[in-house]
Parts: sequence; structure tokens; C-alpha cells
Amino acid sequence: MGRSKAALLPASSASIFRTRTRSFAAAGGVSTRARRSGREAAAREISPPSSKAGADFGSQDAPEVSPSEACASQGGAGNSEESSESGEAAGEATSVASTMLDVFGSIPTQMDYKGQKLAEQIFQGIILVSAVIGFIYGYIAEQFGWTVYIVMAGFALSCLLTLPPWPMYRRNPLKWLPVQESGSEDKKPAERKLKRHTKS
Amino acid sequence: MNTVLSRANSLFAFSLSVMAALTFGCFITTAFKERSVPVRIAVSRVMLKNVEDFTGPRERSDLGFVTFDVTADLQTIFDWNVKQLFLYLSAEYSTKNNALNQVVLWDKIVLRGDSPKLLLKDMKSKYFFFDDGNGLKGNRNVTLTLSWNVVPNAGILPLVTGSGHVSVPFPDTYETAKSY
Repeated sequence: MGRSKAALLPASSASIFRTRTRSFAAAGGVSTRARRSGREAAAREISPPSSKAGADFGSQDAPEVSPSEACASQGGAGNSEESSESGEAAGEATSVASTMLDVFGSIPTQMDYKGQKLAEQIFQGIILVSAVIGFIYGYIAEQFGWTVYIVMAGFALSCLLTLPPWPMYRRNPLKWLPVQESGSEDKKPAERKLKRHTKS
Repeated sequence: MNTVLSRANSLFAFSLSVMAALTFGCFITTAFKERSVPVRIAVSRVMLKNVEDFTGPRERSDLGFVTFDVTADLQTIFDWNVKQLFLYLSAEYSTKNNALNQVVLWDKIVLRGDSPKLLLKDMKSKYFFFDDGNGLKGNRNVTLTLSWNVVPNAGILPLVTGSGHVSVPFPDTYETAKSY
């Protein structure tokens, strides 16, 4: 289990895992810390970081918290550990089953910065356009109720488009530094990276 | 904007602000509109009685009964910012005791969507037309006017008087024995 964690994941072949690879690389700082606590913790740690650590980047959570709390909440964590430990070839059969549970664990819920900006522009644009249309239609039809209905429809549409983290909001992921192999000086750059993240 | 809740919060707050701006726009488009229409009132019967006023001190006051017709077309008042109209017919006169008396005789609520053309004939007054004293007997000039309150969706509630009124003289004698 080696130098780059990315080597493990393509065994399961789903594109979800590919995404996970990218965001896992983003959480590279976290993984170095986990690896110190042992190989098991590191293996368990494969599935959570994409969902939990990423979402927590925006908050003040310390990096140590994410793997452990993610592990506790991930039902599929045990399965992925199993699939990684038993080896890629032998784990093909179990990995199908684990894929099902892992799917839920690995759905990424964060957006990157450009994606957030895009989401904000999208919903502001949709609501403003529906407001203008609604105002004009209500004036013509002489019913203010229609204005309200059209604005509510615009609200529902923009909820649908911007609330779930669609892939189009993840097209500019952050470029993290590559994983550094040796010891304690990894902590500082990783922490600093995360701290910078949380400040914005 | 990094969590779903944060985006939902931002989206909802923006929608409410936009909705508030639209409501203000709705108000502004109808704020300076003329809301008075011509009204025709006709009085067919006036009767006067002198009874004890149960609402005040135990002295006999004049009680008037008026039967009237009202014709008005309120269609142009209704627009997208009007929820309903509150119409009322009031009688105005002056007596020895008081320089100005105004009494509401009858009212009606006309909702948006109800037939706006008012064609009422031989309406009895809804409320008692008591005078403060005995000033109605022989009063030459009792003026009936129809006014309304415009209840909007957003904005001010203007009180508008219809253009058109009728003055009736009241009889000099009291009716007795006959009940209304």
C-alpha cells in the first residue's frame, strides 16, 4: 500500500471512485496523518475523506476529527477496508457489494470555489429573471397572485439547480501539494493549507 | 456557500428580498391612481319616528328610515393591487345641537371578482339612523353620499368619496304606530 493511494482505487473501476481519487488527493494532508496511526486507520480512511473532510474544510474542524468521525458514520468503511486489504484481484467480488454501500459514502457533497460562485450567479440570475417575468405577467393579467407564483417557480427551479452539488460545480478542484512521505514536517504544511482554507 | 444549508439560506433570503421589491413595485404602479367614480343615489322614501334612544340617555331621539337606490360602476377601481372595496352610505346634516353629523346607514364589501356594477334598488338602511336629539324633524338638508375604502394588496388604504350625492328633506311629522 504504497506511495500513492490512487493506485488502489481504480480496481473498482466506477467513475465515482475516480472522483474520489481526485478529492482524496486533495485530502492528501489528512491521509498522511492517518497513516501514522496505522495501516488500518489509513485503509478505513479511504472512503470518508471525500465526503466528510471536504465538507469540513469550510469549517473550523481540526483535520484529526474528520477521519475518525467519518469512520464512525460510514457503514461502508468496513467493507472498503476489507476490499483494500484482501488485495485487488481477490476483492473484485466483494468490491461489487461494497460498491453499493460505498456509493452513498462516496457521493461528494462539496463544491469548489468557482463552483460556488457559479451556483450563486445561477440562482440570482434565475430568480431575477422570474421576478421580471412575473411582474410583467401579473401586471398584464391584473393579478398579483401570478407574480408570486412565478417567483416561487423560479425559486423551486434554482433550488433544484444549485442546492445539490452537481458535477458542474466541481470542475475546478483545488490543487494540493503532492503527498510528502516523511514524518512530522508533513503536519505543518498540511495544517497550514487547511487553515488557509478555512479562513476564506 | 460551501454547504447545502448555506446555499439554501442564501437562496431563500435573496428570494424574499426580490419578493419585497416586487411588492413595492406593485404598490408604486397604483399609488397615484384616481379612485373616484360617479355614483347615482336616489331616495324613494323617508320616514321619521321619535323613540327612546337605547344607546344613550333615556330621552327620546329622532329615528330616521330611508329607502334608497344606488347605481355605480366600480369596474375601473379594481386593478391588480386591489383586494376588496368597503362601500358605505353615509348621511350628513347639521342640527341645532351639532354643526356636523355624519351617520353611516348602510355598507357593503365588494371583493375582487364580484360583479363590480352596483345596481341596488329599494335598499333599507342597515343601521339605525338615530339623531343626537331631535334634529331630524323638519331638517331641510340631509345629504347622502356613497364612499369607499380601497383595501390594497400592498400600500395605503385610501378613503374615496364617490362623485354624486343627493339631498333629502326630512318630514316635519313623526310616524306613529306603524313599525318599519
